[in-house]
Order: sequence, then structure tokens, then C-alpha cells
Amino acid sequence: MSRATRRLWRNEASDELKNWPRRALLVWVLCLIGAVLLWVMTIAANRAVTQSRSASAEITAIDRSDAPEQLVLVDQLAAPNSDALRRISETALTLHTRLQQGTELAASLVSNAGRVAGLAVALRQDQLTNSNDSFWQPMSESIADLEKAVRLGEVSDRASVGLISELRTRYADLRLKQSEATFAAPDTRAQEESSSITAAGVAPILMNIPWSLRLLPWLTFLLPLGCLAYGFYALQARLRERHVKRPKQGYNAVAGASQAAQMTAPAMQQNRNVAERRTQAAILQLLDEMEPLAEGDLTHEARVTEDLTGALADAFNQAVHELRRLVKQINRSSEQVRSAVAQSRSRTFSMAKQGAVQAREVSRTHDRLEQMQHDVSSLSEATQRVARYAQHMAVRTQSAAQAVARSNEALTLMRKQSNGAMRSLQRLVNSTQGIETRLADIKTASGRTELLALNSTIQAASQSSVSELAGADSGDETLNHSAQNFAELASDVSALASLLGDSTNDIDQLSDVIRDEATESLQAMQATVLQVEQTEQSSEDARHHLDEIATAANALEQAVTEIASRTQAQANGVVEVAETTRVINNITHDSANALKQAVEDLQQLENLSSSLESCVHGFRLPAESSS
Amino acid sequence: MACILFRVGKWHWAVDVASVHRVHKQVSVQAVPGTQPWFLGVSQIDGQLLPVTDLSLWLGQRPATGAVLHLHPDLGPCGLRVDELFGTQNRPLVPSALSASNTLMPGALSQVIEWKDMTFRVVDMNLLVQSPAFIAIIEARPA
Repeated sequence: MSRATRRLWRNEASDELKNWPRRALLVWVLCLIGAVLLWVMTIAANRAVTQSRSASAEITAIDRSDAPEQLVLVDQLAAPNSDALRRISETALTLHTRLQQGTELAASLVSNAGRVAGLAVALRQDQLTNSNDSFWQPMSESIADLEKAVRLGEVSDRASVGLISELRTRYADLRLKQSEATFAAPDTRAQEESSSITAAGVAPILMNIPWSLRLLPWLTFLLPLGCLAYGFYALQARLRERHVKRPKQGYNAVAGASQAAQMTAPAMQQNRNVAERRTQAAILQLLDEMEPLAEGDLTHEARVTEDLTGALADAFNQAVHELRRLVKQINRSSEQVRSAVAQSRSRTFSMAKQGAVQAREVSRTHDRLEQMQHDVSSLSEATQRVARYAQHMAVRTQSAAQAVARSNEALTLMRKQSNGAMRSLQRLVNSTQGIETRLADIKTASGRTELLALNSTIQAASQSSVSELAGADSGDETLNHSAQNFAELASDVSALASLLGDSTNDIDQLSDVIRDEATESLQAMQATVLQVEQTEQSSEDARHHLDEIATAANALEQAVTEIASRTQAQANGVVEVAETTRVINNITHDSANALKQAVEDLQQLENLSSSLESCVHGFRLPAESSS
Repeated sequence: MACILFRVGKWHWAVDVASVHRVHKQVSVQAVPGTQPWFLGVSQIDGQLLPVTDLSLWLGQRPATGAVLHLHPDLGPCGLRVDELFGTQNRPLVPSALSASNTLMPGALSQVIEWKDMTFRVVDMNLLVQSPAFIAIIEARPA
């Protein structure tokens, strides 16, 4: 602009000033075209940057969820946008209606669509808590099932597919707004920048966007401003031309007056015509040289001459140079963006797969932890019961030891008494032997008495027969009476002998019985004493063993009590770990879904990069520039 | 009738009290050579010699171990060693179906006395001591 201006100042011919409006119009049109082009590229670049930042923000939210203190923030999400929920519910209801009309669709798909609508309506009407369990995870799973059905070809209706895609987009927007609302802070901008730097996959995209694209919005404003300045200058030049036509107006008027004084009128007219033709030719040549530019060919440049159009050609070439540099930069940036997006998409897809595996393993670990929690709780209860049993056993064992000690004392007393009884029985047996000795004498006397009685009886019978014979002969009564008395005496002696014999036999039998019983009792007492001694020894051993058992039971009770307390602590720890695992499981699910969404966003970013590249595809660059 | 009841071997016998003079519990017997084995010998009782016969051996049983019945002097000097003496009993005689010849014992009558579930056959000692078999105490020497 400055060189063109200086060139215009050097041209003092007033003929050139006559062509000012057309030149200004041409430059104005070119600037306008460039501005529009830059505006389009700026919009495309801003959109790519915005989508990259969205993906970065979502992944940053996922990365931030690794911190334990921020897990609470995720569980206590802020209230989502009511309008976004309303749009989701409307889209889901429309989808539900369309899916219901399809007869060959699975009922689970229709149910998923209805579930999405129901969740959105319920959260909007505050019938649900805004947490991962109640809203975000079911919503994400339902939408993922619908998308899976689309991928498997179960849903082929174009409108339904579009509704599912729209549903995903609105859910992603809602999620992004939710994440921004959850993690918003005074230094949000700095955190976003730092998170965009640390977020894997998306950060390189933002890093690779050239500064030229970021300057495009400024160029968009600078170019129209420059055009306005040029137009203002053109208006000023027009006014000067009027001063040239009218003498006494400005220095041009003085110059024209002096030139008019030097030339004659026909010569001036001829010179004016020649200059006008040269100018027209130069303009036509410039238009011809600008024609390829309208078709996007940036390989041509306008020739810079000393004519009036030289300045325009110079400015035109400068604009072409800028456009070349811009198109080249856009192509390079687009290529870098596509490469980075492809790499990030691959990594994100890999992370999504690993996240799914991690979610499955975490879910399995959670189930195992719940089982472990149940087992540890049962073990704790069993250990507590064992502790009570051990305590009870210790008490009982002490009681048994005391009882055994008392039994031992009783056995000792019994042994002493049995020894006394044995000595008594031994004396009884000895006494029985003395009785038997005396009884033999009594038996002898009894035998003699019997014999005496028998002989007395025989003699009495003999006397009786003699007295009968003699009495019958002599009639002596005294003889008969004597024989009778003798017979009675013999009878008494016989009775006495019989009584003595019977008594002796009875005493003998009783003595035998007493001796036998005493002997048996003595033997039994000896066996009893021996058994009592053995029992006493066994009882003493049992008492020692019971003391040892009581000591061991006390130690066992203490150990089992400690085990019970530690098992309870273990159970509490397992409960906490299970709860943490459940939270991690939810987060992992969300992370997997977010990664899937990030893959799709990267796909869109790649598409935008392709569209940006297609925008500048029509421009042709010189061979040395492309190389 | 008053009888003295005794046992010889497996048989129970009863004799009239009048036919017995005394009963000796233990007697010292002096064997006589050349007599039958059942003739135990002679014993001195109250200054008089008393021939003693083992009634059990005489009946072909084992030697007797009991008292010696000193028979009345009217029946001649004779002592009979029996196995067991039951004493005197004054009980009525009961006729028996056994005949007098149905025994080895000479003088056995067809009357019995029952006492304590035992049956004692009455023996007439006069017939016994006069029987030839009882008298033949000389041992028969081979010719």
C-alpha cells in the first residue's frame, strides 16, 4: 500500500487521476474476495479448534477424575442444562416412536430409546440424583447400545441413524457442559490450557495448529480496514482531480497551469490521448494477468511496470505471495492435523479398548471383593463364636480341674478308709479261722453227744425190753419206771445232741459264709484300693492336664479374640476397597464411553481438516513452493 | 418200732434197736491173717474181743468208713462197720413189695421205714449173723 501510494504521488499527470475510480473498484473487489476467503478459512479453523478443545476438555475431565478428592465432585455433579435435557428427551422420544414403528427391531432397542428419554425427563424433573449410578452410566450404556445396533446393521433406517447420531452429539454436549460446570474454577482458562497440554492424543492437535491460522481472524479485520483506507485515499484523489480541472485549487492546479503554459492545446490533447491509451492497455494487461488468479492459479504473477497499474501489480503480487504462503501453510497444517488426528484416534481407540478391558476386570474384581467381603464377614462371625466357645471352654476346664481336685481328695480319703476296712476284714478273716478251730471242737463234742445219745437210746431200748420182760414176769413198777426215765433221758440227750449238731452245722455254715464273704470282701477291697490308687493317679494326671488345657484355652481365647478383631478390621477394609472398586468401575465405564466419544470427535476433526484442505485445494502453487 | 438207720454202699438199712448193744465211733481193729478181706479183724472193747466185719466189702462194695455197730451179745460177738449212721427212728414199718430173696443181704425183710425221702429196708441181724456166708471168714486156700 505504501509503495503504491508513493508511486501515485510520483505520478503528477492529471490523466492518470481520471482512472482512479476503476482502479479503486478493482482493488476493492480483490480485497473483498480475499477477506471473504480468509473469513471462511477462519471459521473452519475456529470450528476445528473448538472441537479439539471440546475433546480435550472431556478427556481432561476424565483425567481429572483420577484424583480421589475429585471423585466426590463427579458424584455430586451440578445440575445439567435443562434445555439440553429437553432436547435429548425430545430426540429420544422421536427415536422411540420411529423404532416402535419398525416391526423387525428388537424390543431392547426400543426399550433403550425409551430409557434414554425417561432418564432425561426424570433428571430434568429432579426425580433422579445427578450421579454416575443413576443417570450418566445408564444414559451412556443405552446410547452405546443404540450405536452398537447401528454398527451391527440392526438399525438401517436413515432417519433413525441420524437421530441416534444426534442423540450422541447432544449427550456429548451435555456431558461437556456438565464437566465444565463441575470443574469450573477461577483459573479455568489456565487449567484448560494445562490440561490440553497434558491430555494425551488431543494436545498434539492443538499444538500443531499454526499461528497463521490463529492470525486469520485479525487478517479478516485488517483487510477490509485497509480497503476502507484505500477507498478514502481514492476519494481524496478524486477531489484533487477536480482541483486540477479547476485552476487555483491546490498544487496540482498550479502544476497544470504551468504545464498548460508550456504546451499548446492540441499537443496537450494528443499527449492526453496517448497516456490514456497506455493506461488502458496497462489495465487490460493487468486484467489478463489477473484472470488465472480468479480460477485459483497462484503460479502467475503480474508484471510490475512503470505504468499506472505497476503499483496495482506490485500489490497484487504481494497479495499473491501472501496467498501462496497462506495456502501452503494451510495445506501443511491440514496434513499435520490429519496425521495427528489419525495418531490420536489410534491411541484413543487403543485406550478405549484397554479401558473396556479394565472396566471388565474392575467389575470382576468388584464381584470378587464382594464375595471376599461376605467370606470375611462370615469368618469374623465364626471367629467370634470360636472366641466365645474358647472362653466358655476355659471356664469349664477350670471348673473341671477343681472338680477333679476335689475327686482326688475324696479318692485319697476313700483309699485311707479302704485300707482301714481291709485291716478290719483281715482281722475278721483271722477271727473266722479261730471260730472254725473252736467249731471243730464243738463238732467233736456234738459227735460224741450224738453217739452218746445213740448209745443212750440203744441202752434205753435195751432196758425197756429187759424191763418189759422182767416186769411181765415180776410186776416190778420201779424197774419199768427206771427204764422209762432212762428212755426219756436218752431222748433228751438225743434231742440235745440233735440241737447241738444242728447248731454246730449252722454255725459252721455261717462261719464258712462269713469267711468266704470276708475273703471276697477283702479281695474286692484290695482290688478297690488298687483301683482307687490307680484312679487317684489318673485323677492327678487329669487335673494336671486340665490345668494345662485351661491355660491353653485362655491363650486360645486371647488369640481368637485378636483374630476376630483383626478379621473384623479386614472385613471393614474389604468393604472400603469394594466401595472404591465400585467407584472406579463407574469411572472406568464413563472413561470408556468418553474415549469412544473422543474417537468420534477426532473423526469429525479429521473430516473438518479434510474439508479445510479441500477449500484450498483449488489453488495452484508454483512447483518450487510445493516442493 | 425203734430202729437204727444206716447206709452201706448204695443201700439203706434199718435194724431193731434191741439187736444193737452199742455204737462205736472209732475202734482199733487187729487184722487176723487167713481170713476174708471183708473180715477186718478183732477189736478189744471193754476187755472183750469183738470180731469186726466190713459190711460194705462183704456186700461187694468199697470199704466202709463209718461207725461200728456192736450187736447185742445175745446174737454173739460181732461188730459191723457201716458207711453212715443216721441215728434212731421210731417209725412204723411199711410192707414192701420186695421179696426177701431179692437181695444179697441175708435176713433182709419185706418191710421198710421211710424217713426224709429215703427208704430203709429192715434187716434181721439174727438171720444175718447166722448165715453161712457171713460166718465163713476163713479164706479159702487153693488146693
